[in-house]
Amino acid sequence: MIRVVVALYGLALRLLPRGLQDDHHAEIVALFERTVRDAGANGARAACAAVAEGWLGALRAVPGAWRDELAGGRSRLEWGPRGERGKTMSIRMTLRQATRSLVRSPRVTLGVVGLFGLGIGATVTVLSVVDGVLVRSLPYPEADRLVVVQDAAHAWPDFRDWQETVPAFEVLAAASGQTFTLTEAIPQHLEGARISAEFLAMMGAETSRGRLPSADEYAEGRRVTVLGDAAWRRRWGGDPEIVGRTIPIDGIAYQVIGILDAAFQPPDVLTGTEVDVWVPVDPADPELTRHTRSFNVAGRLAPGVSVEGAAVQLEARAIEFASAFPDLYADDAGEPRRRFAPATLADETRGDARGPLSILLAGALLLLLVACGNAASILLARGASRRGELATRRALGGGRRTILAQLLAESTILAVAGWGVGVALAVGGVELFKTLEPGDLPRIGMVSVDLRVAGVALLIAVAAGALAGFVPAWSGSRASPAAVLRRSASGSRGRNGSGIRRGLVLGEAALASLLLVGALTVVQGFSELTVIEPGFEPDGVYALSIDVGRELDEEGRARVTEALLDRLGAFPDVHDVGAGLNVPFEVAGGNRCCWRGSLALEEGDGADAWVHPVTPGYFSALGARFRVGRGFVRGDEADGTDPVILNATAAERIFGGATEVGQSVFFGSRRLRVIGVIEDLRHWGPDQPVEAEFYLPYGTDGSWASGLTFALRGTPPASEVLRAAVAEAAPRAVVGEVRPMHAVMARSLARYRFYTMVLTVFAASALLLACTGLGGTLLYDARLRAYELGVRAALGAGTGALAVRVVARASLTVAIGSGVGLLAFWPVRSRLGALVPGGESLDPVSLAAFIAVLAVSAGAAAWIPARFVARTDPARVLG
Amino acid sequence: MDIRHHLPLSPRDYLVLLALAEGPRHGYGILGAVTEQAGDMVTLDPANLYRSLKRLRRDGIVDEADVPPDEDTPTEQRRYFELTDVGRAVVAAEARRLARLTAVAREANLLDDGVVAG
Repeated sequence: MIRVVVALYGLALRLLPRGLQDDHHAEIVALFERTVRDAGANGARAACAAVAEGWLGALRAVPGAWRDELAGGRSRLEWGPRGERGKTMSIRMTLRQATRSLVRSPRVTLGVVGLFGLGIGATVTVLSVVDGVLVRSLPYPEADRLVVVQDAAHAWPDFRDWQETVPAFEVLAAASGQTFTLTEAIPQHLEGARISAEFLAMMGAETSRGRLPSADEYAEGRRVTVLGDAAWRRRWGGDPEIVGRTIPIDGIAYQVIGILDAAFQPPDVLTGTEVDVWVPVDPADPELTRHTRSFNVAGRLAPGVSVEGAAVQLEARAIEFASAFPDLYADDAGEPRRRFAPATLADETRGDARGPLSILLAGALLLLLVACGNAASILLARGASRRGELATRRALGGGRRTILAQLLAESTILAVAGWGVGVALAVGGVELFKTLEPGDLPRIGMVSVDLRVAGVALLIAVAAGALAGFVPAWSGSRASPAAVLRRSASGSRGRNGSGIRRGLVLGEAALASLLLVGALTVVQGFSELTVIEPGFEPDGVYALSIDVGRELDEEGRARVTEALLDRLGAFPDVHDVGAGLNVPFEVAGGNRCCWRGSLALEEGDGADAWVHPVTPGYFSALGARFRVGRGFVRGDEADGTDPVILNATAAERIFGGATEVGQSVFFGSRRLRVIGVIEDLRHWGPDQPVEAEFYLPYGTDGSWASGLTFALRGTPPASEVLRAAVAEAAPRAVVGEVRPMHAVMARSLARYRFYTMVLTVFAASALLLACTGLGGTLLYDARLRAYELGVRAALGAGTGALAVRVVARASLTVAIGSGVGLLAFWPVRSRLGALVPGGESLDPVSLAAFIAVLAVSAGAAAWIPARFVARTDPARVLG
Repeated sequence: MDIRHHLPLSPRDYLVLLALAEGPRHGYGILGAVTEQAGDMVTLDPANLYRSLKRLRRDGIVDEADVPPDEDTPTEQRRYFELTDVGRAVVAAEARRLARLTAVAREANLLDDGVVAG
């Protein structure tokens, strides 16, 4: 028993420093054993007491022994926790002293905290956005196993086929975002989605009331719908009795069977962000053919199956489809034209947000570095002014490590305080970001500053504090008593680490220049986007969305559309009016809509192109230019031949050389007659490449679509007059707002404008900080050298010349710094293309602007110091 | 080296040095002497004893003594310690310092006659 106790005691002693163990371990153990045995002679209780005493003593000895070890034989001034005894100062003491010292210099403290707050605020704002948009996993069960079947939209029969034949998915579901009309007395738009029965369950949606759809709703003769929480509150006032009632959607009665929980977020890539009504698809609907491809298909991978495994199985189905339905799925070589490649829902959701956000994050970090540079400068200057105090402490025996520890503690405290300020700023910053963001970033609505991001920011803040504080702390703790005392006897002169400060300012200039040149090239790229030739004349053109309603059949829709065109064209100030699924620039951000087909010279092989059903007047309203031929007119469809209009790219691709009116092309098995070729319209936006497009008359080919955008050239009447006119021609139509074409175009560029603005704000802030830093350093140096300057002035050197030297120094610093910044910019400039297309070229205009801005900055930075120097009065300084 | 640098001594160190003032001792002996002199006012366990000894040796106050070990002392226990000249001066200085303080306390009537704690 005693052996065990002694052995354990011996183990505990291993905590002691090596030196003590080597010298005395055996002795201590032996002594312990002897005392325990001796005590045992007086009874078990005494023995236990001895054991306890020995144990506690050992534990108490450990920290003390280590302290002795580290103190390394320094002499003591006084007993007690206060006093300079190497590392005997506890952490608490160090922090307390650091805080006291900071409170004594409030301006420095506030300045540095402000700087850190600014840099960390910007960083936390962007980090929160990055976290919410890119990092946080999707709010669905097993979200990392959710996969989307790519290559745009699919046909319902294909989806059903995959459900049966692709075991890689444990569940597969389909969804298609759609707008519906609530066909009550005043018809209203409803954003919604048509879904397969298992969709909501697969996405983990829960109902706050009622239930989710089951697979047999239609089989049992029920038409049902589930409402989204927001729409339920907004449109039906949160009425709890709505469950069980029917509502008219597109003229048909649907029974509301449930309300979705407010926490559910629809997956935007599958259904759009806002879903007011969820409408299960009727599997027996005859319109669900292989020709209409409108469903997004997603599924959860079966356990143990990877995305690659699913890809292999889907590829096999693609080959099957190509042989089973060659005109739809095979090209002329019999190869599958459509590949059903799976991609994770997470990747699809993030889309191309990664590029721009990483650049913005880099910008924020650069700003933080510049702020750190300024903070370090201030701390250096402060350290220099405390030389006397620190040297005295060292002369009295203060350990260098203690002083170093205290100085580092000061900068860490400042950084943590800056973190607090920064997080507070970021909360506001994130809200501002969300408000200004044009809505192109996925999941932006859920972005907020949360604990994880704040925690990461704290680490960054501590690192920043260490970075900014290290050099000042190092040089401060090196204060040699003799040198300092000598110096103070002869009057304050000397460099005081100005070399380091100069290096800091140079670094800041480089970083700020890097941000500046980046911002300028992005601005340049953006402005180029705004002036790209759109292919039509947007001045005086207005866009208006009208949904004529799905209750009408195709013929009915065509008739109503004609009536609308007549009614709108009848207004005296409207010169031209036409309609299509959308007008150019309306579908932006790399998206495409709505119908793809292929045209060929001979029946069989085809070139893929986007299909646009348009009404007569569409091209003239937009001001599109015809190379040959003309637009559609009423009666084109009646004369037996089906007309088609190509854009220049499509004509080039199909015909090669000059296209003549009257030539034939095949659309599937239909023969079409070319009646015109237009100059390319930048249909998908100025940032997108021009693609092959062709246009068919709405009456014959497009009237499956009820939602159209009307283009009016001229001056549209007032809103109420317009609505009344529309209501006359189409009583059940839902009308949107009239938008000038320029606004549509601006909206398509909104995201680039936003990114450019954010980057410019970062660059301007960094430049301001760098200028302030440079100016502050120059002024500080000038003040330090006031004596020397006074002497020079007394000896006759013109103070003007001295001031010029200050300006020269500033310019040199800025020049070198900007040179470094430009050099650093060169290898990374292609990355800026992710922020704004075309934002990677540094053209002469941007370069000239860059130099101009820097020259002004250098001048501004040098202004106050130069004045100070120029006004040096020798009498005051020397006397 | 000015012995004032070593003052004041911690109570533990002082007692260890007092124990050595009468002559070289080994660890067990020091423990016994301290317990005898200080009774239950100070607890000294083996680990802290050797820690003190190591520190005192480093400061040149105590040294290892050259004493032939006797037969019944276990091998591990055969290391003896003794005061150096500096050590002797230090403990004497500490004793004087404490005596002065005690005299002040007596003048202030803090001590009942004859009853001095210890």
